[in-house]
Formats: sequence, C-alpha cells, structure tokens
Amino acid sequence: MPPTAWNVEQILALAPDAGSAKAGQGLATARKWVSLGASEQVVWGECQGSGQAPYRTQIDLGEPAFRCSCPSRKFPCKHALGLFLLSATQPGLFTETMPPGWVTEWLAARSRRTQEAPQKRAASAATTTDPGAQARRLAAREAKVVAGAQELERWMRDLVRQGLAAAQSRPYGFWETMAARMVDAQAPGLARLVREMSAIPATGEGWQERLLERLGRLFLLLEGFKRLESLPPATQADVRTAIGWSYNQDELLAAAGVRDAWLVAGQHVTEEERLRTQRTWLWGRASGRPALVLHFAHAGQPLDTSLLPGACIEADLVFYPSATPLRALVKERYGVPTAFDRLPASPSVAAAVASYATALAGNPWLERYPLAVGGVVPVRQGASWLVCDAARHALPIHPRFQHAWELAAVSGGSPVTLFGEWDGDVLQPLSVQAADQFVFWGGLS
Amino acid sequence: MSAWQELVSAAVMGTERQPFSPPRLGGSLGQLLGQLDTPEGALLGTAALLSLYRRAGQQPASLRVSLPDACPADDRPRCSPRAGQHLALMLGGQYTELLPEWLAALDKAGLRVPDSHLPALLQRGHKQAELQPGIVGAVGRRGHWLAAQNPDWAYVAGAGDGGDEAIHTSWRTGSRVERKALLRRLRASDPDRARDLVATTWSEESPEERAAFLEAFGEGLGMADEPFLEAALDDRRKEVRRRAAELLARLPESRLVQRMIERVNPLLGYRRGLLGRGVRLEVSLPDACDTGVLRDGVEPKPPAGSGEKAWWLQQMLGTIPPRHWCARWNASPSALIKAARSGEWGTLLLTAWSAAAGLHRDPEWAEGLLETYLDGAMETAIGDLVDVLPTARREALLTRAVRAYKGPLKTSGRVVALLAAPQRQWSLDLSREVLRAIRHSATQGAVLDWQLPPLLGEIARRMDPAIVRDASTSSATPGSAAWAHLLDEIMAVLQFRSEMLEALKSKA
Repeated sequence: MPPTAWNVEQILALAPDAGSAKAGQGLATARKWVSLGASEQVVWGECQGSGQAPYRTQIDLGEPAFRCSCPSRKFPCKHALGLFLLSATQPGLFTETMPPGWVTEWLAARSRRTQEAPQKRAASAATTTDPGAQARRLAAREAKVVAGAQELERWMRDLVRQGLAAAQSRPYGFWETMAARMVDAQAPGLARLVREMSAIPATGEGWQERLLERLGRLFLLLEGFKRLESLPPATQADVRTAIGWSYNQDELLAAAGVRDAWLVAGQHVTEEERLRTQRTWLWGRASGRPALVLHFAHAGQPLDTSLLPGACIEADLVFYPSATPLRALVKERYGVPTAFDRLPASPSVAAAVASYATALAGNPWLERYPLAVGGVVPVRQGASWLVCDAARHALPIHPRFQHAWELAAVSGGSPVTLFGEWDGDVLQPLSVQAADQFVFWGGLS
Repeated sequence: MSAWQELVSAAVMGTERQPFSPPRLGGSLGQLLGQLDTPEGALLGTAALLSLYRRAGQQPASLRVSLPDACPADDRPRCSPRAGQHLALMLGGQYTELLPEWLAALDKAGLRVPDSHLPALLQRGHKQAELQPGIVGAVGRRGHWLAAQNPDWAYVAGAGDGGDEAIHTSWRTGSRVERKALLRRLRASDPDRARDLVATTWSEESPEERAAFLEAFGEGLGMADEPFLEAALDDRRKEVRRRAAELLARLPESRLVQRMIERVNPLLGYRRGLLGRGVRLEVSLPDACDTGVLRDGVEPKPPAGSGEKAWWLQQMLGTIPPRHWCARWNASPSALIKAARSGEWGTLLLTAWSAAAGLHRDPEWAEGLLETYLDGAMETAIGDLVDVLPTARREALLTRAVRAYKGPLKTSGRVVALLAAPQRQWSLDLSREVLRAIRHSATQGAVLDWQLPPLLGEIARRMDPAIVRDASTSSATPGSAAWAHLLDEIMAVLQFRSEMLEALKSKA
C-alpha cells in the first residue's frame, strides 16, 4: 500500500493550471486505467489515451517525482495528476506487485542521478579557474556596482531636491531608465526597488509617505554599501542580497545544514513577465524557526513540486547568510513526507508583530516576513477583512486576498491559527489550521 | 508623529524650495539624526531612520467593530474529503447539472458540506435560484452562520424556527429575497401561518412582491388557501391574477374549478350508440369569453393555428379534473379517450385532458393518455404525465416502450420524449433496457442529430448509477465517432454519479 500522506487538495495544488487540474480529475477514475500497480514508494499505471498504445505513467512518492510517456509538455501532466489522485482516493485499486521493467529503469536512473549529484557539485567546486582571473572578474563587477550605486544616489538626491510632488508627474521613462541602468550595473536588486517605487505615485492617498519610506530605505542601503567593510558580516550579506548579488548555490550547499522536521506551512506563486516565482515557507518543529525556499520557472517550464503545504519533511536546510536568516536551500531530505501536525505559532498578534519588529531590526531591508498567529478570528469591517486575537488586536488582510470567505467559513467565528506573509502593513494568508482541518491557498496571485 | 508629517511635507516640497534640517529629537534617535549632513542626505537619512523607527515600533491596531458570535457546533458531520472533491469539481464547472442530485444525497445521508466549500456553493445558489432549497439543507449551521454575514446569501437565512415575534420582525424588516425564503420555509411546515403572515401586509405590498409571494403558495397548497386566492383573482396586476388562477386550478373543490365545470358541462356530450357502436363525444364551442371567464385565468387570444373559441374551450377543459367526466358519464378513462380519438375534436380533447391529468395528477388518465401517445394517436406534449404515474406502472410502460422500439433514437421520437420527460429515477432493470437501446442506436450508424446529446444526458441522470458495475456486454462497435463519443460521455456521467454517491456513504 503506497503511503498516503497527500490529500486531494495538496495533489491538485501541483497542477500547472486550472485546465490540467480539471483534466487530471477526469482521469482519476478506474475506467481510464488499463493497469495499476504499486510497490513501496512507487505507483504506476497505464492509461488508455487516444493513441494506439496506452501511456505509461509513474510516480515516485518520496519526492514526489513524475514521469509519463504522453507527449504533453505540462508538468505534472494530466495522467500523472489523475494517477496521483487515484492513489490517494482509491488505494485499493493498486495491487502490490513487482514493478515492470519500465518502472525499475526509471527508478534506477533517478537513484544514479541523486548519487552522482554531490560528486558533480564537488567536482565543479574543485575545478576553479585561474584564481587571478576570477578575482579580476569579481573586482570588475564590484566596480560596476559601485558606479551604479553612486549614480542612483545622485539621482535620488536630485529627486528629493525637486520634491516628490514633481516626481508624480514624471513619465514612465524617468524611472525605467534608472532601473535599466541598475541592471546594466549588475545590481538587479536595485533595479527592482526602483521599479517598485515607480508604481507608488499612482497608488492614491498617502502615496507621498509610501514613496518617501521607500526612498529612505534605499538610501540606507546605498549608505550601507558605501561602508560595506565596516558592517558586521551578516549585515554585509543583507546589503549584498538587497542589491542583487547572487550566491553560488553549490558553495552554500557545501556547508552543514540545519536538520529538523520542517513543516510546509504555505506556498505562494507570483508571475512577472513570464517568470514564475514560487515561495515556499517552512517552519522547523524543533528549532521553531522559519525558512523560505524559492523556486523559479520560465513560462512553460514546470515548478518544483517536492514541497507540498500540509506536509512535514525531515531535511537538512542550509540558510543564505543574513542577520535574520530566512532564505534557504534544501540540502538533503530524509524519508518520505508525513502528515502535518500543529504549526508552532505566536500566541497573540502583538507577539507576532514583535517578532517582525525584531527581524526588521536585524535586516532593515526585510520585505515579507512569515507570521504564524494562533487564536485569531477573521472579522469583516466594511469591505475589508482583518484577523483579531483575544486582546482585540487586529491585523489587516491584503485587500486582494481572494479566499476571505473561505477563511471565515473554516473559522466559524472560533479562533484558528493563521499563517501568512506580513509586510508591515497587510497580511497575505497562505494557510489556516482549525481544530480538525488544514486549508491552504497559494497558486498564482 | 508630527516629525514624520513635517518630513513628508518637506519631501513633497523639495529641499531646493525649502531648506531642510533634521528634527530635534531626544534619545538615540536624536543622536543619529544629528549626524546627518547635506540637505538631501539629511532628508533621506531622516526618512530612513524615522520610517524604520515607526515601522519597527508599530503596535497592532485595536479592533473597532464587534466580533461576530462564534458559530454553534454543527449537529451534522462533514462529508468525506473525497465527496468534497466531487463538489469542488461540480462547482468548478464539470458535471454541474448533477449538483441537485448530489445535494439531495448529501441531505439524505445526514451530512453537510465541508467548510471551505461553503462560499463557492452559497455563491452558486445566489446565481441559480433553483438550487437554493437544496443548498439550504446542505450547508449546516456553519453555512447558516456564514450566510447571515453576506447579503447575497440572504436566501439561506430565515427565522423559520423562531417564535411569532421573530418571524413578524423578519417579515417586516427583511429584504425581498429573505422574505421569500422565509415564506417558502414556513409554507413547508405551517402553510396557514404563512398565509396569515402574507395577509397582514398584502395590501401594502408592491405588485412584484405580491406575485413573488404567490409563487410560494405552490408549496403546501390546500383548500384553506382558497378564499385568499379567490380574492386575489381581482388583483390589479395581471401577473398576480394569473398566478392565483393557476393555483386555484390545482384545487378541484375550488370555486374556480366549479365555475369551469358549470361552463363546460353543457358544451360536451357523450353519446353511447346502439350495441356499443357509434360512441362519440359531441363538442360545442363556447359563445363568448366574458369577464368571469377572463377573471378565471383564460387567455383570450389564441396561438397561431388555433381557433378562438376552441382555444377557450381547451383552456377551460384543461382545468377540470378528468375524473369528473368519468363520474358524469359513467365511463372509464380508456373509453372516453377512445371516443375522443375517433371524433373530429380529438386533438383538442386530448390536449386539454393531458393538461388536466397532469395538473390534477390522475394516474389512470395519465396512463391512458400515454398509451395513446405511444400508439402515435396523440401529437400533444406529454409534460408531467410520466411523473404522475406510480412507480410500477411507469417502469412497466417505459420498459414496454423501449423494448418495442427497434429503430435508432431520435429527438423527435416518442420514446426519447417519454424518457426525457420530467420524472423520478429509474430502477436498475429499466436503466439497463434504456442503455441497451442507446447502444443499439449507436450501432445502427444513424446520423446523430445535434439535439440528441443533451436529451441523452438528461436520460443518463435518470439511470441507476449501479449500472456501471455491469460488465460491458456490448461487443458491437458504434457506427460513428460521434456516437462513440456520446456513449463515452454517458458512461462517464454514470461513473461520476456512481463515485459521488459512493463517496457520500462515509463521513470525514
């Protein structure tokens, strides 16, 4: 019997789009499958499609990882989704047998790849090019960024000299040109911050405050960069990250990880210009600390499906350096995901906000912080929603959150534990845990 | 914090126009501010410091409104997650037509909808009013609690269980949707009380509301409602008069029906000839359509192709319970139908009697008329007649009809009309017969007319879903890809129904 740690909601969350989810559900019925089998961690089946031979679909439940012989480029394809759903809803259909040749071949190839991966990493790390050339490259890059930062500072000082009122009537090119120059200067983080600021003058009442706040923070970043060497190493890392320095993942993975039972608390996918970013939040059961795992996919490519909200994975995580470490990479996983238990949460809104304040004090350029608050009730105030704790302290919910009524339904007016992303102003709920159910949202915002 | 506000104003103006110096503040913040130089740098630096200071020191806001009362615990258990998956599928657009069946089965199993699906279901009820009664039963206390917070879902709310006070308050202060829902609920449990409630505000209501409330009288209709409805025949709005007349026509003892009987009695005669030959029905047409007739709901203007007076007679005859004629002439329904067939007024009589048999739910007449229909001697719509038959007779009639018919199923065909007419679910045996007929049609290779698939989809919803467990006995291949696809879809609907009903047998 295959381990059934996944429920239907989690499986459907893997679908790349609504059409695939629907098609997958349509295939989650015994009629469509010519054969079905299971063995330890693997399930497989043959699905009669429109072609001559049935499609061969298989799932390694450990990750989960999928493979199907159909020509679809979607991942996971509708056959994989259907097979997965069927294994979760009607496990009795899967007879425990020896896997056929086409299944064992795939498993063997996968285990070969995972064994070779650390060797490959070590090999690539070892083959450093001429250290002198590398140092020169780094120095050249540094010089570009320094020049870019100086240009940005001059531009900001000009802006402030002429006043924010003038900034509002600036054309789109005013901002976009500077953002493009930051990209040229190899500082994509600075480019993003400039682009985000460009949208603020059009956001209605209070835009001047919001813009000024952003300008202030950007100024702080540039000042920090000027004095980089004198900063503590963790803050140096935060400055570099905010500017857009990328880290070598292999180097990071070489460090020792933090091993814990990590609860997958929530997941959020955003899309910008054909690039999808998946933010997955984990919470360590023993360590009580949060972690953020990022995955990226260009249009058409599949996103990583190995972390499902509601699951608990035993794993080693390595954190990116920071004064308030959040972003992490999964270095190694142990065993299969198990079912979720209680999410460790702040006992009150005030405590949760205080944790955000502490994090912000460590890293002033912190943008989204994970909040898990227990004992809160969703409340409607006019057209907007809040969550409120026993002390009647309230956190506003993001105005574009689509599932507020579901949240209210799950809570039923009784306190629940809510998990979401807090940006200092609004909370974007990602999952909720009530007495006997765990419901999560994510997908494309 | 006014220092911040001053800073914002200064930034909006710009340091060129107004020189800037950092505010003087105490503590470590003041010390940091004191270290800034150049007007622009000072302004930006102050912005950074103050904004971070404020953000980090932010206290959560206090709630201004009151918290909603917590929902009381539900008495019904939630359905299983798998059943929730089916619901989500249907709400998402797949097999949506099966939603009423699912809701009814859920109610019968004593289960309720999972919490996270409530908003989508409630919203669906807002869009599709015919689903509302089914939804109200399915959402449980949690659903009622939730619906009370959203005016779109007011159709769920209703103080049906409250005392007189509560009901009267709801009646006076509720929106039209709420009042209609309240009325519908009350009619189901206590029709007289509901009618009294309507009567209290009847004269003050707008015509639209009067018409809407009359609709609810269809539930729990009885002779006790007769006086009220008779009075409504004099209403100023035609819509209200029409609805009252329709309702009164359903009550055989109402004055309206008695008046119709008095009008039609002299117009029809049944002659038994000598030795059983020459039996015929004599029909004469009414002279005029006076105000009394109009008041009783007869439409004066005939449809195209029908004569004026014949149309009046048909409508009047259609309101009279058919057994009246059996009693009057001491003849059986089959004899009267046979006599009608052979006479010149056959179409009019059979059409009127079909309407009457459906309205008054007369099983004997329904069976006789359906037999006539199957024989091809009646071209009229059969409407509710199939549903009027008791289960055993209905099953027997349909089985016979399906078995006797050898050709391919057609939209215009009588067999399809019988099968697709409104009626309850079929037994497994009848389902098998129908499926066999469909498969047989598929192999005959007739062209699939485009109206047939929706009708066959309707038919697939009547079948007993247990049929999917039959081993597939059909060896013949369908004649065309269109038929193959249609058969596949029918089997898919049956499979889904089987699975969804199976999933409702267990709770979460």
